[in-house]
Amino acid sequence: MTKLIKLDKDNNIKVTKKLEEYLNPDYVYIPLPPKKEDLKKEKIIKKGSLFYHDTFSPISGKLIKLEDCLLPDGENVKCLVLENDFQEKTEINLAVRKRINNLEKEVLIDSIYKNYLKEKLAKPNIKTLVISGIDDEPYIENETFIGQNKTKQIVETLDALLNLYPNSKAYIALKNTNSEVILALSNLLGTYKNMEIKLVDDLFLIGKEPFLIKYLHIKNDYIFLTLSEVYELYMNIKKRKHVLEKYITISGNGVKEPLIIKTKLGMKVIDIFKRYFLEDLTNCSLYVNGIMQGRQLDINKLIVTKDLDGIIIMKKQKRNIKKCIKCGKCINICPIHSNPLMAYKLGMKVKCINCGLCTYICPSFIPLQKYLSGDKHE
Amino acid sequence: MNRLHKKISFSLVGKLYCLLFLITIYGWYKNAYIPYINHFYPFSHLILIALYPVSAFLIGALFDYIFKNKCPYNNKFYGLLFSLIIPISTNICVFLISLTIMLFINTFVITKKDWDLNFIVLSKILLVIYLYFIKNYNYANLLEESNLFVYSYLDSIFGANTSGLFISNTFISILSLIVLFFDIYYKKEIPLYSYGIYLLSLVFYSFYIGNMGFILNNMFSSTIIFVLIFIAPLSSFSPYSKKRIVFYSFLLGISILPFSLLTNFFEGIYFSLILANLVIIFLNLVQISLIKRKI
Repeated sequence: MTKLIKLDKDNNIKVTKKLEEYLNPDYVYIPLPPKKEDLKKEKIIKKGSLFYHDTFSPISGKLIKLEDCLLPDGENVKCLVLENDFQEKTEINLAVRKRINNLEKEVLIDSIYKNYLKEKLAKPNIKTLVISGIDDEPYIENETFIGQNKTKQIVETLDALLNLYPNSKAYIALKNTNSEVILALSNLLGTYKNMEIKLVDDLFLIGKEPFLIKYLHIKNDYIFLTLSEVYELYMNIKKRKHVLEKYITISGNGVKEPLIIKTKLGMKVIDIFKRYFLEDLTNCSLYVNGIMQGRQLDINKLIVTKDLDGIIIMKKQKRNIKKCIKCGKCINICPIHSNPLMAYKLGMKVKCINCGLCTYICPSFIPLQKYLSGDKHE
Repeated sequence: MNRLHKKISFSLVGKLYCLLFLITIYGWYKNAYIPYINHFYPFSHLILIALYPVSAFLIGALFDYIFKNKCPYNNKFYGLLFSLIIPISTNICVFLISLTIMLFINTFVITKKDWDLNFIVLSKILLVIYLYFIKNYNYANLLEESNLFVYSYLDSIFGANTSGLFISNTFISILSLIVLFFDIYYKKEIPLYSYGIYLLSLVFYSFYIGNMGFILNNMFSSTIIFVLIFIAPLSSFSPYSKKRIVFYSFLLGISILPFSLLTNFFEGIYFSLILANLVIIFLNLVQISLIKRKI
């Protein structure tokens, strides 16, 4: 794999540590799986009830209609619109567990609501838990926020997980620039011999599984989790609750006060903007899920899902796109050795992980990303 | 376009212009000022020599303005580069005509068809052939022709040697390489690899002919060093994939000496550069046709 690079970020853009909560929306939007457009009108839904695979109701209320919405990956979907009754009625109320580090593997896995997390933890012969506390995208700091504020919960969950796999170790990967999280975690980890902080350089994409695993020289028999996933496990196993909220970062040089907002899954992003960001955004570009890997989407239709990490608002800048000078930097920087020039010149579809490095490095300011992904919105 | 972008405080083309300016100033000093104060040329020669790069830059700028060329490597840059490498015996009118033809071909054929042909070197070779046939082929100024001075090796490194009109200073060229080395968009592998291979071929050849002085005579050839640093790595004419850069550098480095022996040390590098350039174009064409077949 290619050597990863450090990005030239704008140091004037600070992501605040201030948290806002917006957990009482009037409506939430539940994306329907393809070919499933059934709406039982007036159906009363309880908080946490399962709609379908890994999708639970974030509020209690009644279904009122179907509406077209947009997912953070740019996909248009039909959504069930759920009107909030603000009563937070839940299906079942399970008691909080006092201790979780003595649970049997089956019991622990049974407590988890999401299937993909169950599948991850059900693997046998695990030697290493690799926990990524790294936010790859510049100006998005959700993992950092969780690492800093949910330290005890994370350590308690990791301790419980390590008991499932004999002789296993947990490595918590943090950027070496992230002093606050390092301090918060290292204060707690002293008594846990099988947990270790691994400091990594501030490189772009280092938080992604294949790159981090290679960086840490970890071979087979590992489980890769992010800090937010560990926190979700804590909520499932200890509190015996669904995680129906999501932390999203809204920052960039186009907003006066960047924020981390705890929202309900399924909320419309425009509702968050109406409450917190009243400034005129006509002279700004909005990037959903980051300025490197994100997309420019219509936020009026966009809904919060577990895949939405943040929105970066940048003041519009005039950059003249010049002719390609064939410097080849886009090819040399590509972490998966694709050839963006082939896509740009010949219109070929090439393998792409949509990291945005080719656009970042291009001295002619050519938005190569859009040629690779076929996204012509920009 | 507000995506995050690598900060470029000073572009590669900007750096190249600054370094070429330094080289041009020295070339003017060596080929115009020194012969003038030694009474080999009249005062008008000072202006005439300066006219080559200035007119090339202005004509290039005119082409860019008329044909709205927004490429960083534009006609201004190519025109300037062409003016630096020509023999001193080139008549200003012949130079201006050849420059205009070159820029026309670049604008209407090479840029439009997106060819990677190194037309600067090709134009220079054609100009030299023309000068050779009209028996006006000469790189030495009148001072150098007079044989009043004998240059030492050290002199030649610091610019006192015979070469293209403005490119005699090996020292400034090497300093330029150091400056350019730290620019991520500069293909530093090309001058380094090809010069290394050229040096090796010099050593082997010197052993073969039993004359070790041959290495010292030719290792600091200002023409070779200038072309390797300023023309060979130009993005428009050089390969971009790592493997092909190595191949191009190898081909370039290995062919400098044979071509120099077949012609002379002022021209050999240009022939080897055009050879390497044509081979890379051929490989690109084969690759593209293979890809198109697959599609």
